[in-house]
Amino acid sequence: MAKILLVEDDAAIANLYQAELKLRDHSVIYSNNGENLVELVKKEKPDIILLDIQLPQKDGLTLLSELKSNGDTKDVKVIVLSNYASQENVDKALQMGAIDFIPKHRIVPEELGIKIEQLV
Amino acid sequence: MLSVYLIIAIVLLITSNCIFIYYIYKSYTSQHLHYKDKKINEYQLDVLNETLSRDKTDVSLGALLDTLISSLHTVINYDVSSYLLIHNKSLTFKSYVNNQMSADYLRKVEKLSIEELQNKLGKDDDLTKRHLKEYISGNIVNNENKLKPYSNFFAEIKFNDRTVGVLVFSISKKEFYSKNDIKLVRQILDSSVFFLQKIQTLTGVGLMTDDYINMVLHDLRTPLTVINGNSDILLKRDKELKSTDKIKIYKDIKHSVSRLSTIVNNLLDVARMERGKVKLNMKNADCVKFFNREVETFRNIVESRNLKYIVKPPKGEIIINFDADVTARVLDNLISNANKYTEKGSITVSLKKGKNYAVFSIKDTGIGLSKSQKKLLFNKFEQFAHPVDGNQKSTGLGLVISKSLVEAQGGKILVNSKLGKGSEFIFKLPLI
Repeated sequence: MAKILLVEDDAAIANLYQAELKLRDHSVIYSNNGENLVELVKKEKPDIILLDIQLPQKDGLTLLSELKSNGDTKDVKVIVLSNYASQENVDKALQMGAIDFIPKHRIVPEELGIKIEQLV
Repeated sequence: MLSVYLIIAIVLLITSNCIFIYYIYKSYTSQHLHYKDKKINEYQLDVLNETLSRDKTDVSLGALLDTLISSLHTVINYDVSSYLLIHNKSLTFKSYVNNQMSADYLRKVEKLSIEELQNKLGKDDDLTKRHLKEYISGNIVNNENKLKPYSNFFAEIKFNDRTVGVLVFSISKKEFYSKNDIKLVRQILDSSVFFLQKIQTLTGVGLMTDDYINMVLHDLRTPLTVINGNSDILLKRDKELKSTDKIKIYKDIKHSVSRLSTIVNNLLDVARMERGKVKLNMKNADCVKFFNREVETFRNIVESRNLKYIVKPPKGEIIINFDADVTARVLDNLISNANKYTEKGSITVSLKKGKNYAVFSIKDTGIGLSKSQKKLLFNKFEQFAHPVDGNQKSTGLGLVISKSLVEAQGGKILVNSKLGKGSEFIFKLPLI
């Protein structure tokens, strides 16, 4: 069982991933805007973060860079999940230390569950 | 749908050369030209020809400015010519090195250009928050050259009435640019930009930016992801799911289908409007009855997000001459937008009888809009060329279409909004 932090502003997408991950007995913490993400990660210590790019306040790549530049959160595993999968975004996310970049439309929740279990 | 746009764009791009030649011809024949004016027009012809022939798919302001900075040395003296241009979320600084100058020289010009553009834009758009991309072309950069930019001449670049950048000419000689130099460059820049705007407007090139296509794709993919993923869960996990979970899943699927249908309808409306094929079915009817029926269809969608949905209908009837289907689409776009951009609080939908109009209002407690965002909202070409910002979740097509649909019925649409405080969209349809 893994502790997963889901940062996603689209409620329907968040429901979708939460439904699958809970059925797989993982615990899911949900943030719909990524506010105070570094503090949340320090407090909750998730095994993995699923991070959207387009968020209402700071975008996902900015949040990723904040996580990776903080000594307490730099080692947390981050999968970026976004339909804004331009080569530029993929390269940036991987360069910044994300372990994977998955376009949401190319993966069904079951595959995401399997992927997470392989990584944690 | 996208492939239709692509085909249209390719055909229009091919014809853009003809339109451009027409404009140049018009500028030649519409007036008696002095020798100097004639020289300027010849120069514009060269610049635009170069811009269009360099890369047929890039009839952009960037391509035009590239041509200008690399060729204006035939008109005025400079060591380095540069431009600073706002492009979506980033800022591009491009220099053409005419005489070998140092990297320090270029950095100084860049700093001055940013200060100049910031002054023109005011505090509303903080340029330091934008990602800066730097490019150098032309002669080699020579760091042994200790000369500094003594005189810099900045020309503001306006595109579709908006300040989008500055063109800069820098020289180390201790002399200032003359009034004639400034006038000449201004004239070349303004008229070249004017022609480019015309070409883009007539060919719809602005519509085909990568950003726009990406936004349409993103808009389509999000509901498709939800439908596909939820169907997969229902198929594979049917026995494990509780009935309450299933209801949630069905609701999300239903909501995503309606999101998709709104996007497809909007794209079809744009295609129809561009061909002048929107026909209205105007009838005299009670818009209160219509209002009560239409706005109730959003109650579940809004309340499922833990937002308050407040409906304020008027007492009695308001008879207006309107197209109910078209007006339903306007309400759909405005309430969907309010729902999309509101995280907590409420959405209030009301209808009132004004002096000359039936006044519909959709008010939210969402993220709101800045002054600069408000200016772009209803303008199709502005929307396509400059997505509002990184937080924009969609193409903004809904608002552009709503404006056309309201105006086609003799009405008006307006917005009151403050960043962080929420927005109120009001549309008015004339009373009989």
